[in-house]
Amino acid sequence: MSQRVCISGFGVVSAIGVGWGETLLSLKEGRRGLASARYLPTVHKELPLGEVKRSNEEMKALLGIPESQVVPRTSLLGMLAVQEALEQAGDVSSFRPAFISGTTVGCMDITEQLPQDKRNHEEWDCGASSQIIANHFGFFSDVITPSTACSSAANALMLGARLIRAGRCDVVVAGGSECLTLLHLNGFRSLMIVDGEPCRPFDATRAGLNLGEGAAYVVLESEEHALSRGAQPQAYLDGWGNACDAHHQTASSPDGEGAFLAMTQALRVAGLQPADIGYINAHGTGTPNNDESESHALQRLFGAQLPSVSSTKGLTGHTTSASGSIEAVFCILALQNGFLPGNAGFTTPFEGGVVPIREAVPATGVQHVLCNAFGFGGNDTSLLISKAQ
Amino acid sequence: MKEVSIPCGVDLTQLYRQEVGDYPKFFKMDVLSRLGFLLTERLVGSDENRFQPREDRAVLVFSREGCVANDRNYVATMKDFPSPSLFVYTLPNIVAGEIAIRNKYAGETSAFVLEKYDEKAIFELVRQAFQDPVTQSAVVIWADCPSDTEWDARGWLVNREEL
Repeated sequence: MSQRVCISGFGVVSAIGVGWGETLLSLKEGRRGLASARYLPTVHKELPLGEVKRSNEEMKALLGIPESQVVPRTSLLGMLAVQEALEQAGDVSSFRPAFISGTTVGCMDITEQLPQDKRNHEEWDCGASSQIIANHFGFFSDVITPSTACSSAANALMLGARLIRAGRCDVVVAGGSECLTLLHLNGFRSLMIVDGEPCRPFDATRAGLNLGEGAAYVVLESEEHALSRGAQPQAYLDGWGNACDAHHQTASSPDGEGAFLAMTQALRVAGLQPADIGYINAHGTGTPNNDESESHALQRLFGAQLPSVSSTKGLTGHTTSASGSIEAVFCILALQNGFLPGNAGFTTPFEGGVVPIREAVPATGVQHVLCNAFGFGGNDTSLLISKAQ
Repeated sequence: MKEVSIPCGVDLTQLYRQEVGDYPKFFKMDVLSRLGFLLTERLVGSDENRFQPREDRAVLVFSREGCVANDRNYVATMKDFPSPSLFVYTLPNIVAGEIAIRNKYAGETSAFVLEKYDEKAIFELVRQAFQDPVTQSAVVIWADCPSDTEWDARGWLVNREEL
């Protein structure tokens, strides 16, 4: 029996598009979604942010939710992406899928609007944002919230794939969602890793990240299960790896040990060699530390045969907990449409750094790609995604 | 399977001084990380070759409220200047990173938010981590602390053959 894990549907919302159609155009044309804050009530109007270009009210209208209903922005973003993924996958409600949704911010935007003494963390805790998404659709069985900072959504996909491969679930909807909040915008600024200019991943002049927001989900099932119900595999999730950098809470090790181990494991799970990989969607945040560490990890693994690399965070900003699934969907779009997305903001390489592709390029022969997502706490994850024939 | 716990209300600083004493980074940690750290000391303190770097041990952390106690402390600093040292601990997986750094574990780490304490759900997720053939054992932590002084903290050291 085939236990190859396929992706039979996907949905994505980010600063460069609501839905995969708009997203695909932005990726191909290199449209950047970074702009001054329009929806987040921050005083820091000077900072470029990757906001999703929809107000909460507009999203509620799209979802058929009454405007008066209080819904966290993380949940609204998530519902849009889950809805799109389910539309593509076809009706899976009778299989009672598990819902695995990575987030760290959760309902924080709601608590930030409440006065200090009215902040009810029991009602609006981190897992509540996932539960609210699941309840909107009404047919999910288990709801699981991985919360591992910026690798949360990637870890959701990894867990989903394992549950399918182990035969524990027939169908899993996995991904992540995260809205911008004052808490983490101010927090990242306090760590001095936010750039006041549009970010420049892998560039010699890079000076930090821009925060973004968004959501993406995939419908996972075994290939056999998808085919037996007449669904079309859109791509395959063939490998995954998670390793701990065990170096520092908020900085990566100079040699990128955790990243190296995670990518190595993803290849091993897929039964592939480095030479099989045609593209890497790097974590590439634009911080001096990440891009140097990730460059070293990539060079250790691939040596002189480094495939095309790019970070798409110059387009979307760093969508933190959701970045792993958003960028996994970018990889699926790239494989399906025969191109590789560019690394917006890059002009000059730094010494010892990888040289990414600047603009989207056609690429029809790519069969397998890696998608990296690394989180604070040294939580490094790599996903291996393959083209569906 | 080794199982340990730390009763609610215990003075964690005193416990650290009694049982550990050689890792001053402990004092920078939030309550969630302190609990995870001390539980792990009890679980692996007698390991042979304890600080040899290893990839075959996972660290899996579960809670209901994540790091909400520290989140509140951090938010209080935002009125003035947001504290970077408190911001770091506004992530519920930092405790897993702290345990990995202390013990030189380069294996899988993860953190999950569950609706309630649910041993069946916890061990189902632990089992999935053992799908990775590298993983031979796992430090499993349930640490839920709605405030700096209230918690439910338990830990297990699970070997592959015990599942």
